[in-house]
Amino acid sequence: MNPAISCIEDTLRLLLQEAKQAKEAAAVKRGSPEEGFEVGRSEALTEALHTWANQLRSFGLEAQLDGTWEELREFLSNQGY
Amino acid sequence: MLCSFKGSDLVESSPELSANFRAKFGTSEGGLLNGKGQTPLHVAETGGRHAGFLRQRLGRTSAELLSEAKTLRQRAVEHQDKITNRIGYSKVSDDPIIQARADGGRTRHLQKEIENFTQQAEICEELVQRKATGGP
Repeated sequence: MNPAISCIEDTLRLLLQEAKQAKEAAAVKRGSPEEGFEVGRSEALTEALHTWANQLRSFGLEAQLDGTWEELREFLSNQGY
Repeated sequence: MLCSFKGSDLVESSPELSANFRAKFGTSEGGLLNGKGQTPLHVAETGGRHAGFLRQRLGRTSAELLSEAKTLRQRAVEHQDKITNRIGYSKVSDDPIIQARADGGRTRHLQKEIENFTQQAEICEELVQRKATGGP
């Protein structure tokens, strides 16, 4: 795997992990003053991942990402994307 | 004339898709111009947005480019459908203000993605037009 693809794959993994944690944090903070921030952060991370997914498809790179691509698609599908 | 390629040339096999797309996003007859009157292809050629996308497509045939443009426009329609039919606008909060912000943010995000697909499709179409007129 070329270094650029490895970099993208690792970055996607990190962002996916962060997005999942952000969803949990938003649920935990429901009804609190911090809820708005946590929901916004969670939505922003999900949108960033959606843009990544669309671009990876446009560049035909999804096949090179193996399991990370499947994990990304599953996460986005659960978010309605 | 910057781009006289007609959307109907792209989607002969799917007139419904073509009409649907044009109704929502306008025709591509004048191209999608930025504030400086540049098409997405001109922007990409000067190293701006979609420069990498363009580099990857310079060696492709007209048939490949047309096929890709059709796919990209289809993806734009699918994303527009999510906005129109409120697909994926799930509940994220009991607070109506937070919920409205989340829904608005989702719509803006989807619109940006649609713009992105449309610009990429325009690049493919303008490249085809250039090839037809003897360009590179």
